[in-house]
Amino acid sequence: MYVTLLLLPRRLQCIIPHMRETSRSLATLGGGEVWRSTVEPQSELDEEIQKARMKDMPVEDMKNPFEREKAQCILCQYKIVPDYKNVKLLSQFVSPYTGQIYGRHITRLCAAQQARLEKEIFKSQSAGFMPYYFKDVAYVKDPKLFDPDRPIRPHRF
Amino acid sequence: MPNYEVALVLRTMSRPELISTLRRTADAIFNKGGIIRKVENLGTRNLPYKMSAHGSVHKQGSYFVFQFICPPSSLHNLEEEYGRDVDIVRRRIFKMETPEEFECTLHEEIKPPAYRKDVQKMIEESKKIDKYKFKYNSGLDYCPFQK
Repeated sequence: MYVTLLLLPRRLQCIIPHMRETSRSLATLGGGEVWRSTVEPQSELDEEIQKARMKDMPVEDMKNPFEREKAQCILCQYKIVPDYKNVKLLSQFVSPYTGQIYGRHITRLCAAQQARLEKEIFKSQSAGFMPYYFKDVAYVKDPKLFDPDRPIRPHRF
Repeated sequence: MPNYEVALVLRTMSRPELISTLRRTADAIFNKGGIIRKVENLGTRNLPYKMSAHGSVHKQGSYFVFQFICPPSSLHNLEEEYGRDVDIVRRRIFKMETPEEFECTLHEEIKPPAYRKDVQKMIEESKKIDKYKFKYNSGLDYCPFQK
């Protein structure tokens, strides 16, 4: 063992733990273990250096700065409540070819809003405000809120 | 007494006729012990689909919305009375409800299936079901025959 160590180049010898002199102790900070120097401050300069070092330590209980904003559906975002009399709004969620209500994977609404929307569309159709089998011609060129050809999940249509 | 809303589609009529029809529909609510809160005229336009009522097909209609307060027991009678009215093509009574507030759950729903809570719950439930396993009843903890 000794012979092999001698044969090793100097850099490699440093890596082997028992060969290295350490003047550090283990401290816990912010839940994790951190190596910290235990050299006693001898002068004012040393103390200042220590203080400066403490400033550079990780901050405890800090919020994750990289956390993403929660995604919201378009109706929740703008706080729109679908109403059966508002045919222009409801028509935006209906196929112009078949009058079928697009599913959640196409409209990108949350489950509660989609349920509410479908309920209002059924009410509107039944009360004679909205057609069943097509989109009202006046609303066909309205701006598109989503692309039916690019659903979140693949579908069979 | 709860709030209700009746959506009416009336056949196309001259103005005095329309006024008398509206007065009739309003009186029907008053006679049942109700109060009208609001009357809205949504205009006369082409219907989205042909509607046949009282023996004739309608392609045009005038839209009106009445918001009213009424005892729930008289609602059925009101609807029936409107049904008998020749000038009313279609009527629907809806309860007016204040929209309940909820948190948007879209960020949960667009996660991959393995991270969604409802999927995790389904997987947990499927594990719980005891599947039938054949018992040899040989008193041995191993199978003595070739499997």
